[in-house]
Amino acid sequence: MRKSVLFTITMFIVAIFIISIFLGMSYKDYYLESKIESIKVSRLNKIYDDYERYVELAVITSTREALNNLSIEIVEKESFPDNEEEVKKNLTEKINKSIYKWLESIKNTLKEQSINVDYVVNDIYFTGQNDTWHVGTYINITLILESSIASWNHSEQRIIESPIEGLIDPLYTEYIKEIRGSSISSTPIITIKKSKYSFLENSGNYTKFLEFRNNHWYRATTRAPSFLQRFYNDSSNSTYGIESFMNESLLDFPPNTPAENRSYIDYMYISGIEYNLTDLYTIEDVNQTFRLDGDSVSIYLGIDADKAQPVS
Amino acid sequence: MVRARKGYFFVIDALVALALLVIIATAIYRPLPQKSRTLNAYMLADNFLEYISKTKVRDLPLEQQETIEENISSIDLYLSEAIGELYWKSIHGCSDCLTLAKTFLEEVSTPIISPEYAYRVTIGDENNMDVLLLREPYGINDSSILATSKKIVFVMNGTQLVEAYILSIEVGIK
Repeated sequence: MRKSVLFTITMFIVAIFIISIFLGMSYKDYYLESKIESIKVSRLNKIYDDYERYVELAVITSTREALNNLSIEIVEKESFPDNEEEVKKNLTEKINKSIYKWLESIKNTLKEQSINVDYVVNDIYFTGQNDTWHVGTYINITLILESSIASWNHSEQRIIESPIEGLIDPLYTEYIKEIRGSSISSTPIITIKKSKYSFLENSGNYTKFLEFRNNHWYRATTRAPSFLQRFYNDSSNSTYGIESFMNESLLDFPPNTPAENRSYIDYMYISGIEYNLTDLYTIEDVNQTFRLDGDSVSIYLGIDADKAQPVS
Repeated sequence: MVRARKGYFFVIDALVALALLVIIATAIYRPLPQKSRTLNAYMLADNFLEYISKTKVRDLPLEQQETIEENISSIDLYLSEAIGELYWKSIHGCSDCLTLAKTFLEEVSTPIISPEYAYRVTIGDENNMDVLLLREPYGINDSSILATSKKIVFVMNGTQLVEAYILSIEVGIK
């Protein structure tokens, strides 16, 4: 009797041992299979992230292309849109034309790689400026990615900010073309280059002034028009204003001669604001045709204001 | 009666012992499971893609940087972006750039990829795919398992998108 009890217990232990081995082997298979699926899904998820990033870059690229194309149209025709709404409408049309080229391109590329993606652009339009150095484009888009193991179908609505650095300044470039009477191909294209220095709170000095001028930088200032205002020739001040210096060598293009009674702050010069010569200053070791008004001398030369001399 | 019962018990004993032997022998001599090999292949493809997606040219040893630094826009590009840029240039007139991309990929991958596996790295778009790297200890197309990992590579000009390619890494196991 004792032997049979012992035997039964042994049998149970052996049975549990055998079942454990089988379960362990099955679990290992299951674990490996789930791990493989997890890697596949994770990789597809990363492709979806790449796809989202691609859309963002495509919007930025389309927006910047639209802005540059509009600038070229303005310079070619020597004529500005009437107002901000007209600029926005024109840019929205251009962005709409350009964005589909990018979206179709990646869709076809991925399709060739057996990755099915699709998209629905519900809405896209140019929104304007929300900060000095960026312009916004609103997009409402549904992105779809499908495979045999997982699928994504996600809508997003957001404003994508595009940097304005490197883009054509239409106001400045159009003015240069107009005074030179040249074709656009022989007109120097002026692009936005952000200054290293802000020149705020009397931080200007002679060295910074020279660097700013020689590099043809732009700085943020609330006394100047914004980048967007430059598309409809509006010289009024803006929260997102930017300004640069006129390059006197570009102005000195016969029969045009550089104006003597204007400050060389770009929007002031272009809009034709005139000063008495007694209120204008030339700067030491700088071409004497280059002039600044008193306020600008304080801003740019700051502690080195003695480097500026009144014109007369 | 008692004898018959004892005989019955011994037969069960023998069967149990035999079953145990079979199970243990199967567990010991079981070949490397196919799923485990598949997992290895996927992990190798994925890890290699992660490496070239998250390592900057700047972080490579100097001799590897020197291979391409004059032909890319910045050494702050990730390896995948640098390869994408070289590929784009090769399509747009740079006669050496494709060879350069291949040499560079060969250099950066040698210490990482295991020589016992077959690897193939390709790049391209919907029109064309070019092989950048092919390591074949055995024919990759004859592999019993072919794990693929893909990524979209952006070619940028500053903040603007110029082109996007698919970079594909395949790992084959015989």
